[in-house]
Amino acid sequence: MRPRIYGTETEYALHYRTGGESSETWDEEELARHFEEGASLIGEAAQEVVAPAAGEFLGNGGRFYLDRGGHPEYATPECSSVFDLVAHEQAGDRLMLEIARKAQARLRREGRPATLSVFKNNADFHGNSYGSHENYLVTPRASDRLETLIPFLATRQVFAGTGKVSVPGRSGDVAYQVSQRADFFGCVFNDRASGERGIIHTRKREVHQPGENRRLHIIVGDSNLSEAAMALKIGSTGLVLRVLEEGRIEGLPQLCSPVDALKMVSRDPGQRLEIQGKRAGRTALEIQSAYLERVQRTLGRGKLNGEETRVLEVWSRMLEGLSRVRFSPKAGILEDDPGDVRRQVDWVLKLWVLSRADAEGTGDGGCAGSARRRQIDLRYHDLDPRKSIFARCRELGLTDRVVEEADVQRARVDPPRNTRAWTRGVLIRDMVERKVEVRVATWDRLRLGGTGRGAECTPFFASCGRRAPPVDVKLDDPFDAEDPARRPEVREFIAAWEGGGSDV
Amino acid sequence: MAKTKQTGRARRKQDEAEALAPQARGASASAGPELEDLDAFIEKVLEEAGEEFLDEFRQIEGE
Repeated sequence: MRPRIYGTETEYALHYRTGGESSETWDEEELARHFEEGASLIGEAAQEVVAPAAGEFLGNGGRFYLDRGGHPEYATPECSSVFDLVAHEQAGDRLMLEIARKAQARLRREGRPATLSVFKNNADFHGNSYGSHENYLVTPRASDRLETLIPFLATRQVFAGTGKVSVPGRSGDVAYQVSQRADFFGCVFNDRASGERGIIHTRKREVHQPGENRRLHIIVGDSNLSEAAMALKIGSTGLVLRVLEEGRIEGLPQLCSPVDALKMVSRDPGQRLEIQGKRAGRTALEIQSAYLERVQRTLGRGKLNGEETRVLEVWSRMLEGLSRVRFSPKAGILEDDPGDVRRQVDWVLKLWVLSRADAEGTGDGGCAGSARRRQIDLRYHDLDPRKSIFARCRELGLTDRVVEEADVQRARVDPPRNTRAWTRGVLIRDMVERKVEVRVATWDRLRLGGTGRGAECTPFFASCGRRAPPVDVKLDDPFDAEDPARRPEVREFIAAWEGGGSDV
Repeated sequence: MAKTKQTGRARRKQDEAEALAPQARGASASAGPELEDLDAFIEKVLEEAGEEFLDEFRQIEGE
């Protein structure tokens, strides 16, 4: 069985409050300047927190950087296990929080009346969105039939959506939506990740070893806080890709209007969606069940590894549990959840919290889109456990975990063992220790170069007065997890460096 | 996921009742100190944030 590689990219929302005029009245230019200042604070704090690192790339094999719109972004290293990926995505959340705290401490030291918070969500209440992207290594065969995945991707929000309190006048007559991102898509395939986004992003699909591997870039998901939802989103997508790669995907229901269906499910997951060539529509759960059954029939137990079997069981139980959830999209309240699905699904947990708060609160608590409800929505996603409603739920044992806390702590430092992220991460750590400058331009190339007089030096490295001929390390094979010290070019570089033959 | 199937006047009355006094059976079925803790936590967080925070939480379009 061919292993798969998974990775995610999370764009965080920065809230930088300076104590001055409210950003609500600013034009785009003023807002951009404000974010530039906030992002610069984050960038400086990152220099102190992320070492060992080579520029944006980290010793755990991942990458932290500032993306379009002043959004700090964490890309996990390449993982060959769904549960490794869950640990690594959360390691990114911890790193982001650590950086924000460092920046906040600096503001405090300098006596500046500003605060800085970070949120892991995908939309503000002013109509702006920012991404949660997934990457899968697929075969060219799968890559040629990606349209067959679309009904699965448009409906998996029933377990992978993180939920959103609707803004009055912007979401029709519903008070609550299943997905944060669904409203921000305009087509099925596109090479743009903003403006008219496509469910599948078609740019940069090639990886090295053409003919063997392609990169599938899905940008339609929400940023999950729930570990179980995160694992199921990635794991079930991986299973459906296996069916596609085996050439057994044909005959599943295909949507007449995928983008409309995406938005319809987000507003009311119980409604029927139009299916090509069929008079009767299908609900999101019926479509998910069709994909689940196809996976069970095609792959069966004999073809699945332990992790895939676990994902398949969770997926099956999840669809059964979701079929018993009762809620009113119009009123935005949860009526019943007899299977305790809220322990695993973000949008159900958030809706449960909202419904509790409506019942407990006073004033405008029950009004759709009220300020109180929107505050709760936002605070669900706060990364700071002192203010995060999700973190509090987890602390109180109200959510399920699928990885150990120790795995998350380890992922903050160690790269995954079975992919080229291992080579990258170990090399970065080793070279930083030897005071060698490492430059990582792309995910598949590193350059080791001596720091010396006249050479440009990043703040991570102190000049140590040595030099060695630079060497390029290629990571073309995504599964290359070789100890970097066994590579001849690395050995030669180290020998020259340690020998000190090129002292300056 | 299922919605209660009702029509016309009955559904309107039900919607109004839900909007005014939501009872959320799924939300209140369990009780215990941890839920009291959660409720108190939420109220504290909301109070500290202040209403203006919502308007200020404005982002630039990302990817």
